[in-house]
Amino acid sequence: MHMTSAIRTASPVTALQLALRLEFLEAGFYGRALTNPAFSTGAQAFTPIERAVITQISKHENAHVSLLRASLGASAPPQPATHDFTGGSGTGNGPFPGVFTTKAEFLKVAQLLEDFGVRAYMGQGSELMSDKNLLTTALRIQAVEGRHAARIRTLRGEAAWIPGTSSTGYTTFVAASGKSQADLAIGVYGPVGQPGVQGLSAGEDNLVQGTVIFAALATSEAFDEPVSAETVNAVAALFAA
Amino acid sequence: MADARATIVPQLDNVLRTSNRRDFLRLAGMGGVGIFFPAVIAGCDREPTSPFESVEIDLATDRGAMNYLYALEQLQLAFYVRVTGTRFVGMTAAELTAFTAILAHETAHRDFYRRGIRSGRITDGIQFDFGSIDFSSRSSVMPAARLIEDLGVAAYNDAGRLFSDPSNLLIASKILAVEARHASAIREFIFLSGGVMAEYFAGDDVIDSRGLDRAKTPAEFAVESDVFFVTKLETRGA
Repeated sequence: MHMTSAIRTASPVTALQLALRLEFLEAGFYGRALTNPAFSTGAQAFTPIERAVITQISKHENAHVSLLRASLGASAPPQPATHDFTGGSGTGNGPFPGVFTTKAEFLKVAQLLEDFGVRAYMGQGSELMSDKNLLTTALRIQAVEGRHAARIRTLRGEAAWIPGTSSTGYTTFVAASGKSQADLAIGVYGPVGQPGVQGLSAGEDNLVQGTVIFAALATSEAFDEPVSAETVNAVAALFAA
Repeated sequence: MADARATIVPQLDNVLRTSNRRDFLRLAGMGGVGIFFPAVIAGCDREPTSPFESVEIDLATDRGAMNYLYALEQLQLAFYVRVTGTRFVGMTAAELTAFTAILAHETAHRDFYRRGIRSGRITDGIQFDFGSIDFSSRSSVMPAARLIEDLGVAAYNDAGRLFSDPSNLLIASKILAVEARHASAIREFIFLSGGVMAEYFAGDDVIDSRGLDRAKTPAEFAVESDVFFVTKLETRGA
Protein backbone atom coordinates (compact mmCIF):
# COMPACT_ATOMS: atom_id res chain seq x y z
CA MET A 1 0.00 0.00 0.00
CA HIS A 2 1.38 3.40 -0.91
CA MET A 3 1.67 5.73 2.05
CA THR A 4 0.82 9.28 1.10
CA SER A 5 3.75 11.62 1.66
CA ALA A 6 1.49 14.65 2.07
CA ILE A 7 1.94 16.81 5.13
CA ARG A 8 -0.21 15.33 7.86
CA THR A 9 -2.62 17.40 9.85
CA ALA A 10 -2.27 17.43 13.60
CA SER A 11 -5.04 14.93 14.29
CA PRO A 12 -3.67 12.05 12.25
CA VAL A 13 -0.14 12.66 13.57
CA THR A 14 -1.31 12.61 17.17
CA ALA A 15 -3.36 9.49 16.52
CA LEU A 16 -0.43 7.69 14.90
CA GLN A 17 1.90 8.71 17.72
CA LEU A 18 -0.57 7.26 20.20
CA ALA A 19 -0.77 4.05 18.22
CA LEU A 20 3.01 3.82 18.02
CA ARG A 21 3.34 4.30 21.76
CA LEU A 22 1.08 1.31 22.29
CA GLU A 23 2.86 -0.74 19.63
CA PHE A 24 6.22 -0.02 21.27
CA LEU A 25 4.75 -1.39 24.50
CA GLU A 26 3.35 -4.52 22.88
CA ALA A 27 6.47 -5.19 20.80
CA GLY A 28 8.65 -4.87 23.87
CA PHE A 29 6.31 -7.06 25.88
CA TYR A 30 6.27 -9.97 23.46
CA GLY A 31 9.91 -9.61 22.49
CA ARG A 32 10.92 -10.01 26.09
CA ALA A 33 8.58 -12.95 26.59
CA LEU A 34 10.10 -14.90 23.71
CA THR A 35 13.61 -14.70 25.19
CA ASN A 36 12.50 -14.96 28.81
CA PRO A 37 14.29 -17.94 30.41
CA ALA A 38 11.33 -18.70 32.67
CA PHE A 39 9.13 -19.22 29.62
CA SER A 40 11.69 -21.31 27.76
CA THR A 41 12.22 -24.25 30.09
CA GLY A 42 10.71 -25.52 33.29
CA ALA A 43 7.30 -25.33 34.84
CA GLN A 44 6.42 -21.97 33.29
CA ALA A 45 7.62 -22.75 29.82
CA PHE A 46 5.41 -21.90 26.86
CA THR A 47 3.85 -24.91 25.20
CA PRO A 48 4.68 -25.21 21.49
CA ILE A 49 1.26 -23.82 20.62
CA GLU A 50 1.62 -20.89 23.00
CA ARG A 51 5.08 -20.09 21.66
CA ALA A 52 3.86 -20.25 18.08
CA VAL A 53 0.99 -17.88 18.88
CA ILE A 54 3.23 -15.44 20.78
CA THR A 55 5.83 -15.56 18.00
CA GLN A 56 3.23 -14.67 15.38
CA ILE A 57 1.83 -11.85 17.50
CA SER A 58 5.33 -10.53 18.12
CA LYS A 59 6.04 -10.54 14.40
CA HIS A 60 2.96 -8.44 13.75
CA GLU A 61 3.68 -5.94 16.53
CA ASN A 62 7.20 -5.42 15.21
CA ALA A 63 5.74 -4.88 11.75
CA HIS A 64 3.30 -2.33 13.16
CA VAL A 65 6.15 -0.48 14.84
CA SER A 66 8.03 -0.32 11.55
CA LEU A 67 4.97 0.80 9.64
CA LEU A 68 4.02 3.55 12.08
CA ARG A 69 7.58 4.80 12.43
CA ALA A 70 7.89 5.02 8.65
CA SER A 71 4.58 6.83 8.39
CA LEU A 72 5.44 9.35 11.12
CA GLY A 73 8.96 9.98 9.95
CA ALA A 74 10.45 12.82 12.00
CA SER A 75 7.28 12.95 14.10
CA ALA A 76 7.84 9.46 15.46
CA PRO A 77 8.56 9.34 19.20
CA PRO A 78 11.71 7.42 20.20
CA GLN A 79 11.42 3.76 21.04
CA PRO A 80 11.65 3.27 24.82
CA ALA A 81 14.64 1.22 25.92
CA THR A 82 12.63 -0.49 28.63
CA HIS A 83 9.13 -0.70 30.09
CA ASP A 84 7.68 -1.53 33.50
CA PHE A 85 5.58 -4.54 32.62
CA THR A 86 4.44 -4.97 36.23
CA GLY A 87 2.26 -1.93 35.48
CA GLY A 88 3.90 0.11 38.21
CA SER A 89 4.63 3.36 36.39
CA GLY A 90 8.34 2.72 36.51
CA THR A 91 8.50 1.47 40.11
CA GLY A 92 8.64 -2.18 39.12
CA ASN A 93 6.06 -2.71 41.85
CA GLY A 94 2.83 -2.71 39.91
CA PRO A 95 -0.16 -5.08 40.11
CA PHE A 96 1.52 -7.66 37.86
CA PRO A 97 4.69 -8.64 39.75
CA GLY A 98 4.79 -12.10 38.23
CA VAL A 99 4.39 -10.98 34.64
CA PHE A 100 7.69 -12.59 33.59
CA THR A 101 7.95 -15.29 36.21
CA THR A 102 4.49 -16.79 35.96
CA LYS A 103 3.09 -17.73 32.59
CA ALA A 104 -0.50 -17.34 33.74
CA GLU A 105 0.16 -13.76 34.81
CA PHE A 106 1.95 -13.01 31.57
CA LEU A 107 -1.02 -14.26 29.57
CA LYS A 108 -3.38 -12.22 31.74
CA VAL A 109 -1.44 -9.04 31.01
CA ALA A 110 -1.29 -10.04 27.35
CA GLN A 111 -5.07 -10.27 27.26
CA LEU A 112 -5.44 -6.89 28.90
CA LEU A 113 -3.00 -5.27 26.48
CA GLU A 114 -4.55 -6.87 23.41
CA ASP A 115 -8.16 -6.09 24.32
CA PHE A 116 -7.04 -2.59 25.23
CA GLY A 117 -5.13 -2.18 21.99
CA VAL A 118 -8.22 -2.96 19.95
CA ARG A 119 -10.15 -0.34 21.89
CA ALA A 120 -7.37 2.21 21.53
CA TYR A 121 -7.31 1.95 17.75
CA MET A 122 -11.06 2.18 17.67
CA GLY A 123 -11.00 5.41 19.63
CA GLN A 124 -8.67 7.06 17.15
CA GLY A 125 -10.57 6.26 13.96
CA SER A 126 -12.34 9.60 13.81
CA GLU A 127 -8.96 11.35 13.97
CA LEU A 128 -7.90 9.68 10.76
CA MET A 129 -10.94 10.38 8.60
CA SER A 130 -9.16 13.18 6.79
CA ASP A 131 -6.73 10.65 5.30
CA LYS A 132 -8.56 7.67 3.83
CA ASN A 133 -5.41 5.64 3.29
CA LEU A 134 -4.34 6.09 6.89
CA LEU A 135 -7.80 5.28 8.16
CA THR A 136 -7.90 2.05 6.19
CA THR A 137 -4.44 1.12 7.43
CA ALA A 138 -5.51 1.74 11.03
CA LEU A 139 -8.61 -0.41 10.59
CA ARG A 140 -6.49 -3.19 9.10
CA ILE A 141 -4.20 -3.03 12.15
CA GLN A 142 -7.19 -2.97 14.47
CA ALA A 143 -8.47 -6.14 12.86
CA VAL A 144 -5.17 -7.89 13.48
CA GLU A 145 -5.18 -6.81 17.10
CA GLY A 146 -8.69 -8.23 17.34
CA ARG A 147 -7.42 -11.59 16.10
CA HIS A 148 -4.59 -11.41 18.64
CA ALA A 149 -6.94 -10.58 21.48
CA ALA A 150 -9.26 -13.43 20.59
CA ARG A 151 -6.43 -15.98 20.49
CA ILE A 152 -4.82 -14.86 23.76
CA ARG A 153 -8.22 -15.05 25.42
CA THR A 154 -8.82 -18.60 24.22
CA LEU A 155 -5.30 -19.60 25.28
CA ARG A 156 -6.43 -18.57 28.75
CA GLY A 157 -9.66 -20.52 28.48
CA GLU A 158 -11.73 -17.37 28.03
CA ALA A 159 -14.22 -16.68 25.27
CA ALA A 160 -12.70 -14.96 22.25
CA TRP A 161 -14.97 -11.93 22.77
CA ILE A 162 -15.40 -9.51 25.66
CA PRO A 163 -18.48 -10.20 27.78
CA GLY A 164 -20.40 -7.28 29.25
CA THR A 165 -19.46 -8.49 32.71
CA SER A 166 -15.76 -7.86 32.07
CA SER A 167 -15.76 -4.59 33.93
CA THR A 168 -16.90 -6.37 37.06
CA GLY A 169 -14.45 -9.17 36.45
CA TYR A 170 -11.63 -6.72 36.09
CA THR A 171 -12.51 -5.09 39.36
CA THR A 172 -12.32 -8.47 41.03
CA PHE A 173 -8.92 -9.08 39.48
CA VAL A 174 -7.68 -5.76 40.68
CA ALA A 175 -8.87 -6.51 44.20
CA ALA A 176 -7.11 -9.87 44.18
CA SER A 177 -3.84 -8.23 43.18
CA GLY A 178 -3.94 -6.03 46.25
CA LYS A 179 -4.02 -2.87 44.18
CA SER A 180 -6.90 -0.45 44.07
CA GLN A 181 -8.87 0.51 41.00
CA ALA A 182 -7.50 4.00 41.39
CA ASP A 183 -3.96 2.74 40.97
CA LEU A 184 -4.87 1.50 37.55
CA ALA A 185 -6.67 4.60 36.29
CA ILE A 186 -9.85 3.71 34.45
CA GLY A 187 -8.84 0.18 33.67
CA VAL A 188 -8.93 -1.86 30.53
CA TYR A 189 -12.61 -2.70 30.27
CA GLY A 190 -14.02 0.60 31.30
CA PRO A 191 -16.06 2.05 34.09
CA VAL A 192 -18.36 -0.38 35.83
CA GLY A 193 -22.09 0.03 35.86
CA GLN A 194 -22.43 2.76 33.28
CA PRO A 195 -24.13 0.89 30.45
CA GLY A 196 -25.99 3.95 29.28
CA VAL A 197 -22.93 6.05 28.60
CA GLN A 198 -21.99 6.46 24.96
CA GLY A 199 -18.83 7.29 23.16
CA LEU A 200 -15.42 7.34 24.66
CA SER A 201 -16.65 7.16 28.24
CA ALA A 202 -18.44 3.86 27.79
CA GLY A 203 -17.28 0.60 29.21
CA GLU A 204 -17.49 -2.80 27.58
CA ASP A 205 -20.98 -3.24 29.03
CA ASN A 206 -22.29 -0.45 26.79
CA LEU A 207 -25.68 -1.13 25.17
CA VAL A 208 -26.13 2.13 23.28
CA GLN A 209 -25.09 1.94 19.65
CA GLY A 210 -25.98 5.23 18.00
CA THR A 211 -29.75 5.48 17.98
CA VAL A 212 -30.16 1.79 18.75
CA ILE A 213 -30.40 0.83 22.40
CA PHE A 214 -30.20 -2.85 23.18
CA ALA A 215 -31.87 -4.37 26.21
CA ALA A 216 -29.89 -7.50 26.99
CA LEU A 217 -26.43 -7.18 28.51
CA ALA A 218 -25.33 -10.07 26.33
CA THR A 219 -25.60 -7.87 23.25
CA SER A 220 -22.73 -5.74 24.52
CA GLU A 221 -20.51 -8.66 23.60
CA ALA A 222 -21.25 -8.05 19.91
CA PHE A 223 -19.61 -4.63 20.00
CA ASP A 224 -16.17 -3.74 21.28
CA GLU A 225 -15.95 -0.20 22.67
CA PRO A 226 -13.40 2.58 22.09
CA VAL A 227 -11.25 4.26 24.68
CA SER A 228 -10.15 7.89 24.63
CA ALA A 229 -6.64 9.11 23.97
CA GLU A 230 -6.46 10.16 27.61
CA THR A 231 -7.18 6.63 28.72
CA VAL A 232 -4.63 5.21 26.31
CA ASN A 233 -1.95 7.53 27.63
CA ALA A 234 -2.92 6.78 31.23
CA VAL A 235 -2.66 3.04 30.75
CA ALA A 236 0.51 3.35 28.66
CA ALA A 237 2.05 5.41 31.44
CA LEU A 238 1.45 2.55 33.88
CA PHE A 239 3.79 0.43 31.79
CA ALA A 240 6.38 3.10 31.11
CA ALA A 241 9.79 2.68 32.66
CA MET B 1 -24.85 -35.32 -5.29
CA ALA B 2 -22.12 -36.40 -2.94
CA ASP B 3 -19.59 -34.62 -5.11
CA ALA B 4 -21.66 -31.47 -5.07
CA ARG B 5 -21.84 -31.56 -1.32
CA ALA B 6 -18.11 -31.85 -1.01
CA THR B 7 -17.41 -28.91 -3.27
CA ILE B 8 -15.12 -26.48 -1.56
CA VAL B 9 -16.81 -23.08 -1.52
CA PRO B 10 -13.92 -21.00 -2.91
CA GLN B 11 -13.59 -23.31 -5.90
CA LEU B 12 -17.28 -23.12 -6.63
CA ASP B 13 -17.18 -19.38 -6.27
CA ASN B 14 -14.38 -19.18 -8.76
CA VAL B 15 -16.28 -21.30 -11.25
CA LEU B 16 -19.39 -19.19 -10.91
CA ARG B 17 -17.37 -16.02 -11.25
CA THR B 18 -16.28 -16.98 -14.74
CA SER B 19 -19.81 -17.79 -15.84
CA ASN B 20 -22.16 -15.86 -13.68
CA ARG B 21 -25.54 -16.94 -12.50
CA ARG B 22 -27.44 -14.65 -14.87
CA ASP B 23 -25.75 -16.11 -17.92
CA PHE B 24 -26.47 -19.59 -16.72
CA LEU B 25 -30.13 -18.89 -16.09
CA ARG B 26 -30.50 -17.04 -19.36
CA LEU B 27 -29.11 -20.03 -21.21
CA ALA B 28 -31.32 -22.40 -19.30
CA GLY B 29 -34.34 -20.25 -20.07
CA MET B 30 -33.50 -20.27 -23.77
CA GLY B 31 -33.55 -24.01 -23.71
CA GLY B 32 -29.85 -24.05 -24.36
CA VAL B 33 -27.86 -26.94 -23.11
CA GLY B 34 -26.63 -24.87 -20.22
CA ILE B 35 -26.07 -27.77 -17.86
CA PHE B 36 -22.59 -26.66 -17.01
CA PHE B 37 -22.91 -27.12 -13.28
CA PRO B 38 -25.09 -30.07 -12.37
CA ALA B 39 -23.70 -29.72 -8.87
CA VAL B 40 -25.16 -26.26 -8.62
CA ILE B 41 -28.56 -27.31 -9.92
CA ALA B 42 -28.70 -30.23 -7.59
CA GLY B 43 -27.34 -28.25 -4.67
CA CYS B 44 -29.57 -25.20 -4.84
CA ASP B 45 -31.91 -24.91 -1.90
CA ARG B 46 -34.18 -22.58 -3.73
CA GLU B 47 -34.63 -21.34 -7.27
CA PRO B 48 -34.91 -17.56 -7.43
CA THR B 49 -38.33 -16.27 -8.31
CA SER B 50 -36.66 -13.79 -10.59
CA PRO B 51 -33.11 -14.35 -11.75
CA PHE B 52 -32.54 -10.62 -11.99
CA GLU B 53 -33.73 -9.73 -8.49
CA SER B 54 -31.18 -7.51 -6.83
CA VAL B 55 -30.52 -4.85 -4.22
CA GLU B 56 -28.85 -1.72 -5.50
CA ILE B 57 -26.77 0.28 -3.09
CA ASP B 58 -25.31 3.73 -3.62
CA LEU B 59 -22.17 3.90 -1.52
CA ALA B 60 -21.77 7.66 -1.85
CA THR B 61 -23.67 8.22 1.40
CA ASP B 62 -23.31 6.92 4.96
CA ARG B 63 -26.70 5.30 4.60
CA GLY B 64 -25.50 3.44 1.53
CA ALA B 65 -22.41 2.25 3.35
CA MET B 66 -24.57 1.02 6.20
CA ASN B 67 -26.93 -0.73 3.79
CA TYR B 68 -23.94 -2.52 2.30
CA LEU B 69 -22.80 -3.70 5.71
CA TYR B 70 -26.39 -4.63 6.51
CA ALA B 71 -26.38 -6.95 3.51
CA LEU B 72 -23.14 -8.46 4.74
CA GLU B 73 -24.58 -9.08 8.19
CA GLN B 74 -27.69 -10.69 6.69
CA LEU B 75 -25.38 -13.11 4.92
CA GLN B 76 -23.47 -13.97 8.08
CA LEU B 77 -26.60 -14.33 10.14
CA ALA B 78 -28.26 -16.62 7.61
CA PHE B 79 -25.12 -18.75 7.47
CA TYR B 80 -24.87 -19.22 11.22
CA VAL B 81 -28.57 -19.99 11.50
CA ARG B 82 -27.79 -22.97 9.27
CA VAL B 83 -24.58 -23.88 11.09
CA THR B 84 -26.24 -23.99 14.50
CA GLY B 85 -29.38 -25.55 13.08
CA THR B 86 -27.76 -28.54 11.43
CA ARG B 87 -24.57 -28.91 13.53
CA PHE B 88 -22.05 -30.86 11.48
CA VAL B 89 -21.10 -34.35 12.59
CA GLY B 90 -18.45 -34.22 15.29
CA MET B 91 -19.05 -30.62 16.34
CA THR B 92 -17.50 -30.24 19.77
CA ALA B 93 -19.20 -28.60 22.73
CA ALA B 94 -16.73 -25.72 22.56
CA GLU B 95 -17.47 -25.21 18.89
CA LEU B 96 -21.22 -25.24 19.48
CA THR B 97 -20.83 -22.73 22.29
CA ALA B 98 -18.79 -20.47 20.04
CA PHE B 99 -21.17 -20.78 17.07
CA THR B 100 -24.10 -20.01 19.33
CA ALA B 101 -22.37 -16.88 20.57
CA ILE B 102 -21.39 -15.86 17.05
CA LEU B 103 -25.01 -16.32 15.97
CA ALA B 104 -26.08 -14.01 18.80
CA HIS B 105 -23.51 -11.42 17.74
CA GLU B 106 -24.57 -11.49 14.10
CA THR B 107 -28.18 -11.17 15.23
CA ALA B 108 -27.24 -8.07 17.20
CA HIS B 109 -25.34 -6.66 14.24
CA ARG B 110 -28.29 -7.31 11.93
CA ASP B 111 -30.62 -5.74 14.45
CA PHE B 112 -28.41 -2.69 14.71
CA TYR B 113 -28.64 -1.99 10.98
CA ARG B 114 -32.29 -2.91 10.69
CA ARG B 115 -33.23 -0.61 13.54
CA GLY B 116 -30.62 2.04 12.87
CA ILE B 117 -31.26 2.63 9.17
CA ARG B 118 -34.63 4.32 9.42
CA SER B 119 -35.37 5.46 5.88
CA GLY B 120 -34.01 4.13 2.61
CA ARG B 121 -33.09 0.78 4.06
CA ILE B 122 -32.61 -2.13 1.69
CA THR B 123 -34.78 -5.18 2.04
CA ASP B 124 -34.63 -7.04 5.33
CA GLY B 125 -35.12 -10.26 3.41
CA ILE B 126 -32.14 -10.84 1.15
CA GLN B 127 -32.38 -14.40 -0.15
CA PHE B 128 -29.36 -16.64 0.20
CA ASP B 129 -28.29 -19.93 -1.31
CA PHE B 130 -26.04 -22.16 0.75
CA GLY B 131 -26.50 -25.15 -1.51
CA SER B 132 -22.76 -25.29 -2.07
CA ILE B 133 -22.25 -26.16 1.61
CA ASP B 134 -22.94 -29.50 3.28
CA PHE B 135 -23.93 -28.40 6.77
CA SER B 136 -23.57 -31.95 8.07
CA SER B 137 -19.87 -31.94 7.20
CA ARG B 138 -17.09 -30.23 9.14
CA SER B 139 -14.87 -30.16 6.07
CA SER B 140 -17.52 -28.18 4.23
CA VAL B 141 -18.72 -25.85 6.98
CA MET B 142 -15.43 -24.74 8.52
CA PRO B 143 -13.78 -23.48 5.34
CA ALA B 144 -17.01 -21.67 4.51
CA ALA B 145 -17.07 -20.09 7.96
CA ARG B 146 -13.46 -19.04 7.59
CA LEU B 147 -14.15 -17.52 4.19
CA ILE B 148 -17.24 -15.66 5.35
CA GLU B 149 -15.52 -14.28 8.45
CA ASP B 150 -12.27 -13.29 6.72
CA LEU B 151 -14.31 -11.71 3.94
CA GLY B 152 -16.39 -9.83 6.49
CA VAL B 153 -13.28 -8.47 8.17
CA ALA B 154 -11.83 -7.41 4.83
CA ALA B 155 -15.07 -5.71 3.85
CA TYR B 156 -15.27 -3.77 7.11
CA ASN B 157 -11.60 -2.78 6.81
CA ASP B 158 -12.30 -1.16 3.47
CA ALA B 159 -15.75 0.21 4.27
CA GLY B 160 -14.54 2.58 6.98
CA ARG B 161 -13.41 5.08 4.36
CA LEU B 162 -16.98 5.34 3.04
CA PHE B 163 -18.28 7.15 6.10
CA SER B 164 -18.53 10.90 6.57
CA ASP B 165 -20.09 10.81 10.03
CA PRO B 166 -17.53 9.73 12.66
CA SER B 167 -20.22 8.17 14.83
CA ASN B 168 -21.14 5.80 12.00
CA LEU B 169 -17.49 4.97 11.43
CA LEU B 170 -17.11 4.26 15.13
CA ILE B 171 -19.91 1.72 15.26
CA ALA B 172 -18.64 0.01 12.12
CA SER B 173 -15.24 -0.31 13.76
CA LYS B 174 -16.85 -1.77 16.88
CA ILE B 175 -18.40 -4.49 14.75
CA LEU B 176 -15.13 -4.96 12.85
CA ALA B 177 -13.35 -5.80 16.10
CA VAL B 178 -15.83 -8.55 16.89
CA GLU B 179 -15.73 -9.98 13.37
CA ALA B 180 -11.96 -10.21 13.70
CA ARG B 181 -12.47 -12.16 16.92
CA HIS B 182 -14.84 -14.48 15.07
CA ALA B 183 -12.32 -15.03 12.30
CA SER B 184 -9.61 -15.83 14.81
CA ALA B 185 -11.81 -18.27 16.69
CA ILE B 186 -12.90 -20.09 13.52
CA ARG B 187 -9.32 -20.50 12.40
CA GLU B 188 -8.35 -21.72 15.84
CA PHE B 189 -11.00 -24.42 15.65
CA ILE B 190 -9.76 -25.47 12.23
CA PHE B 191 -6.25 -25.75 13.64
CA LEU B 192 -7.40 -27.69 16.70
CA SER B 193 -9.31 -30.18 14.58
CA GLY B 194 -6.28 -31.10 12.50
CA GLY B 195 -5.06 -27.94 10.85
CA VAL B 196 -1.46 -27.15 10.19
CA MET B 197 -0.30 -24.12 12.15
CA ALA B 198 -0.94 -22.77 15.62
CA GLU B 199 -0.43 -19.25 14.30
CA TYR B 200 -3.22 -19.75 11.81
CA PHE B 201 -5.57 -17.49 13.86
CA ALA B 202 -3.76 -14.59 12.19
CA GLY B 203 -1.89 -16.54 9.57
CA ASP B 204 0.41 -15.30 6.85
CA ASP B 205 -2.33 -16.18 4.40
CA VAL B 206 -4.39 -13.21 5.60
CA ILE B 207 -1.91 -10.94 7.40
CA ASP B 208 0.78 -9.40 5.21
CA SER B 209 4.40 -8.51 5.97
CA ARG B 210 3.33 -5.11 7.31
CA GLY B 211 1.08 -6.78 9.85
CA LEU B 212 -2.05 -5.69 8.02
CA ASP B 213 -5.26 -7.65 7.59
CA ARG B 214 -6.88 -7.54 4.17
CA ALA B 215 -9.14 -4.81 2.86
CA LYS B 216 -11.58 -5.65 0.08
CA THR B 217 -13.77 -3.22 -1.81
CA PRO B 218 -17.55 -3.62 -2.06
CA ALA B 219 -17.08 -4.80 -5.63
CA GLU B 220 -14.62 -7.44 -4.50
CA PHE B 221 -16.94 -8.47 -1.70
CA ALA B 222 -19.82 -8.84 -4.12
CA VAL B 223 -17.76 -11.06 -6.40
CA GLU B 224 -16.38 -13.26 -3.64
CA SER B 225 -19.74 -13.72 -1.92
CA ASP B 226 -21.73 -13.97 -5.14
CA VAL B 227 -22.28 -17.70 -4.79
CA PHE B 228 -24.36 -17.10 -1.67
CA PHE B 229 -26.51 -14.17 -2.82
CA VAL B 230 -29.68 -15.15 -4.64
CA THR B 231 -30.79 -11.55 -4.30
CA LYS B 232 -27.86 -9.96 -6.09
CA LEU B 233 -25.80 -7.27 -4.48
CA GLU B 234 -25.11 -4.33 -6.78
CA THR B 235 -23.05 -1.51 -5.36
CA ARG B 236 -21.88 1.70 -6.98
CA GLY B 237 -20.25 4.91 -6.02
CA ALA B 238 -17.22 3.64 -4.16
